[in-house]
Amino acid sequence: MLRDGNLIAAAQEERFTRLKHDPGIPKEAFRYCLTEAGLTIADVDCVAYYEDPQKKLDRQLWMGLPQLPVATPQALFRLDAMRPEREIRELLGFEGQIEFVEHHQAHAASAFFFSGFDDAAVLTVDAVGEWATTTYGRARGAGLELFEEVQFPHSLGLLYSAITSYLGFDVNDAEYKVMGLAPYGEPAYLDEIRALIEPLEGGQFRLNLEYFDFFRGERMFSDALSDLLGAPPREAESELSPFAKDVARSLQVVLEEILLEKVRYLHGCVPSTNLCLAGGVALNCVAIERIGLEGPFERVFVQPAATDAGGALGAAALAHVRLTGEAPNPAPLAHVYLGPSFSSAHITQLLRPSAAKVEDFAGREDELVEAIAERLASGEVIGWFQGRMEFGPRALGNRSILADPRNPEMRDRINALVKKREAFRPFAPAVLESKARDHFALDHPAPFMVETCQVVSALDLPAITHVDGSARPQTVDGTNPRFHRLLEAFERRTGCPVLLNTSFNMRGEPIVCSPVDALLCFIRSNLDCLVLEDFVLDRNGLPEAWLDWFGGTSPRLERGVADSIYTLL
Amino acid sequence: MKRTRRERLRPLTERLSRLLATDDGTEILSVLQRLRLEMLAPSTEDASPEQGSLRLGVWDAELQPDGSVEFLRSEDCAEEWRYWADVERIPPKQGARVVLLGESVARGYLYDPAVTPARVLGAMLRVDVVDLARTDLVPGELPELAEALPALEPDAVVLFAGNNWLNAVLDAPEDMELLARAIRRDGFAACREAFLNDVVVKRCGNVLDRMAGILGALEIPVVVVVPEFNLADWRNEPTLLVPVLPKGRNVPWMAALEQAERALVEGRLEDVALHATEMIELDGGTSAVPHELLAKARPADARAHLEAARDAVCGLLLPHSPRCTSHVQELLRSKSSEHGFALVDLPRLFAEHRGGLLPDRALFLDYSHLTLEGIRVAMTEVAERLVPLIGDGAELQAAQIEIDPAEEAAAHFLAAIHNAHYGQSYEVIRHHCSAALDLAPSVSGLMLGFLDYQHGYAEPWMCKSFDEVARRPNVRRYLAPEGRRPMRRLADVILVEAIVDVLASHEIPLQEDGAPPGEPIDLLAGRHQSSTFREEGGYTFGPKPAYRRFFGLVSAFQLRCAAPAPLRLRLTCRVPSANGQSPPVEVRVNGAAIGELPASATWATAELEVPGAEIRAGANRIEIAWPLLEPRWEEQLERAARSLERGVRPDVLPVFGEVHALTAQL
Repeated sequence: MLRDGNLIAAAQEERFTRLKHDPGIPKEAFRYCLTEAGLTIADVDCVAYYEDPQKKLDRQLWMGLPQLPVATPQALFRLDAMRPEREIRELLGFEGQIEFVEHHQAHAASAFFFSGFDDAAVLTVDAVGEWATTTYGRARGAGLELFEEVQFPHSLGLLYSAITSYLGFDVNDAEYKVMGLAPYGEPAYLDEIRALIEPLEGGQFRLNLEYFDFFRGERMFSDALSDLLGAPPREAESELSPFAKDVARSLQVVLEEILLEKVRYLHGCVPSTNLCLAGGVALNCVAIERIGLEGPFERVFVQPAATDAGGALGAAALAHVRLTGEAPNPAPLAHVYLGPSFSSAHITQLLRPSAAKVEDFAGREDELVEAIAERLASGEVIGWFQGRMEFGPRALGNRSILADPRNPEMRDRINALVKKREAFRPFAPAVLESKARDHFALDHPAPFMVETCQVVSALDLPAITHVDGSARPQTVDGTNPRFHRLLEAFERRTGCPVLLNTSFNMRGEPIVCSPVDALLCFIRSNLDCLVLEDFVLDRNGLPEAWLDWFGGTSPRLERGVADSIYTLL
Repeated sequence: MKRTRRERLRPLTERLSRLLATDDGTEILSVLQRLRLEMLAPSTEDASPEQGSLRLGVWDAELQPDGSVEFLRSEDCAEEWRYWADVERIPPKQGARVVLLGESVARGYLYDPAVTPARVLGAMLRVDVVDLARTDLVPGELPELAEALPALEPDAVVLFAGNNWLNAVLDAPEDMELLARAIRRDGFAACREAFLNDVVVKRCGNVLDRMAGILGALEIPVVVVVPEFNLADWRNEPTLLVPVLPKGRNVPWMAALEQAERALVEGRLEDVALHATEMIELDGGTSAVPHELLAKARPADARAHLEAARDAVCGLLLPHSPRCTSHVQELLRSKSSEHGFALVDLPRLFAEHRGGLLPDRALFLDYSHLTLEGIRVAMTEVAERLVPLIGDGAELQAAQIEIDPAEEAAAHFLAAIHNAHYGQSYEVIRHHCSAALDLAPSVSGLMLGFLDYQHGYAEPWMCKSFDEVARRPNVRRYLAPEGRRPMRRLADVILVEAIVDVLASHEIPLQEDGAPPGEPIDLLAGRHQSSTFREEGGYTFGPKPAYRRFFGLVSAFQLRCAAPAPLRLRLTCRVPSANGQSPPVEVRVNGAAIGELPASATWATAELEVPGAEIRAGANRIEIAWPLLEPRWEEQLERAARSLERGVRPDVLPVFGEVHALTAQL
């Protein structure tokens, strides 16, 4: 929701529906944005959509060749260029102007218009939009021009996803696991991975399609890939072999090489000091670190919601430009606390009829942060819920699970308590911005957790330090005052201005949105303590009944019995 | 760089995409896809489930040392447990054995686990009855269960199903296309006819044929039970009046309804029949309402009219309470005859049992779930059919159904909730509340607990009172939050009135349900607006919009207030069929007119100040009265047909008003 060019609200539908990656038209998020802005649907001038449906249909038709159209049960009814407009009209109820923005234009705009830069070179990299998979652009003021693109099927995102799939992880969800796995391996398969992709002149590159299978929609790679790498695909959830780690490392190295080469090319075309990045591949924070350190640009801005969620920001910004001829508010994105908040009064009413033991710190924030710092210092794992929900994939201190990063057991403990994720994946740190340089090789604020750097701390921080000595820190300043105070309080107690900060959710579940989501996650997991705004709930103070109803269960994604029939169920 | 042949085709697909990026283009593409799929794909009708499955419902087979097979309830399916019999294990066969397959009626819904038809049957026959009935079973699951039956070695199978078949059999694209053609031909009346006569008969017939093939090959005799419906007491939800009618017939239909209702009040039964007949001519049989009026006007023919009312809403592709229509009943009879199944015909049996009276609350807790009397009568007849099929050793015993009065009372209270959540009348809801109290005064604790958690601000499961209610074993199956899914809440206005009435001697502290001070209250939330889940969901199986559609001329919202105080209402609404001459939209609070808005076909927002004098301590009723306008029927019918052709079930009812936002600020 942009109002007069100012970013008012943003939220992902999955947070409301609790269906991860919910692909539906964002009805709940739409309603939330109106409420947050104090507007009604009648006040909205324009709804922007982050894709050109006709161009997407073109690519779908082409992909289906020689069938025309492709006819599989899965593809039935999917070739529908009118769907976005129809659903905006019929399901959102919007009567006004609709602006369609090409996918990579939306990505590019989401980075540049929120970077605070006067001018910039722009690079977008993802799996695929309509046709483009990588674009190169220049931007100044209200102007944004994408002057070159790489088109499907040649795609860095798809390359990474195909290997992700080969390594037994979920495509479009688990690419970051491959990135996390890479430091455990050796680049032993560089030749083989390089055989998959051929860098070309300018911004171009070309995949060797012999090794891929993007057209049938069943899997992303061909048998030739197994032959090339000399091993069959890994079974999901099976043990991770040294081979898998080596392949992950090799892939990461090749990705970084190509990105660096193309960033240098872009700088040649657009000799700005600034680079803006977006698209799913821009969340490869390891590659972003190398671009920052070794690339030609002085300053790099990565849209924190670099994946398709952030496309909404860019689409809205470009629609604003089209309607007004002016750029949106040129200030840099100060934070991504753009989702719903819930007042202490709301939580009071929510908790009042329960049997839960609740400690109320209303009006005593200092005591609250001291109490939580003490719990953290004593090894407790805290569910931390306050303020407006973050937009994008990272929890940045408002919907976070927090813990002491110095504890060597903490990574395994959090995995056992709540996250249930692969042991090799590191957790990220939050650090007081004023102390960041003492602990991380960072020379600038990093409020969005979009880049990695080396841990240089005199402290031993095993829970947030990856096997290669890196971390993906969030620097925290007064923009998030309560979280900042908590870090200060923790430092006063321990001398450590760093906390482990991971997203507040269970495996397979979107990050919690409401206090009830947080409570359910708290009950289902084994977190020690939950902070809901001014209220603190201890695990020992939970009503037995709550544990009886929900303890040990997992979040539900599908329904077993139709509500429409069995009304009691 | 040399381009591949595929790459050289890009200009052509680009051109094609431009031509097809329209509504017609989308339709062309889906038709082409359908043609190719039909040409290539084998029929899936006869596809058998995977062989060698060792799971039966929620029970996994475990081979015993002696070679026999025992089934143990699987932790993997813990969230499904409460839809099945509450038994840990199904032991190897030891004596004569019967398997019961069926839906929630066969589960003994609302009595289960205290009483189940399977246990009643077992007691009557003194044989082992394996209870494989499942709440919400759909017809496609039956053959899968039947395939696994050899492991249980049953001597006979009882099939007690048919209530869930209507809304579960529509998913094949060709069926949806058939219905789309029917809609274009003559609206939803033709759609209904095509659905009942073609789709239901074909799909459900196939299921029964497959069952016959599987069980016949195993030489297992079958008893089929034809379900009956609570004809006397059950009515459709009040909002389910009539679908969009072709040729501008909705307004005349509403006018005839008004006249019929006035005639009924004035006792002019011939006029009632006259207007009801006129309504049927207008709606083509798509509304239960005129048939219900005819049942009142011509009581001698009530059964036929009420059966027509039961069936009228079926085939309209919108959510309604489960039921077994005449079409399905007749199919069960004819297929039983064809395949040599023994038959227990509940419509005939219940009519005999009740001496010709219509089936009613004596036999039913709701639309189709049976009372203890209904279970006893039905199972007695089933047992009689089974005796000759099981062979030696089986004989019929008179069995009394034993149940703790507190559990029977709980079942009636649950029935009151269930009836309320289907929009049933105050009289029926109160009957069940009263029956519950008569059976066990202690049920008042349940009722008070329900009032407490259902009408507070917090989620039900968060309230102390909820735990006290839902922890009871026979309540837990129905009211507990499903392991992963918290419950939703409705306004329950009539239910609360009924409970308060029967509990007149108790002190009832009803909470106010306002938001925290200063925060606006969203009156579109189900807890302020909806009596039923289908109402909350917009009476559609299709996607729910981001705003609320209203299908009645008056939309009511409930707000509980601690004390009289001024209120500010903020309403964003539109009237889809409005034109420049349309009457205004009226807003009323507790019956007093508060304001009017011009009826606008586009969204408009109004703020209305409600004086404190119009607000009561306790429940307040806020109403929006929409103008009666003819829907844009050509547009809506075409949209419905196109929706079906995209594989999406359509919106069916005429929309009188739409609200995007309605908040109250105290």
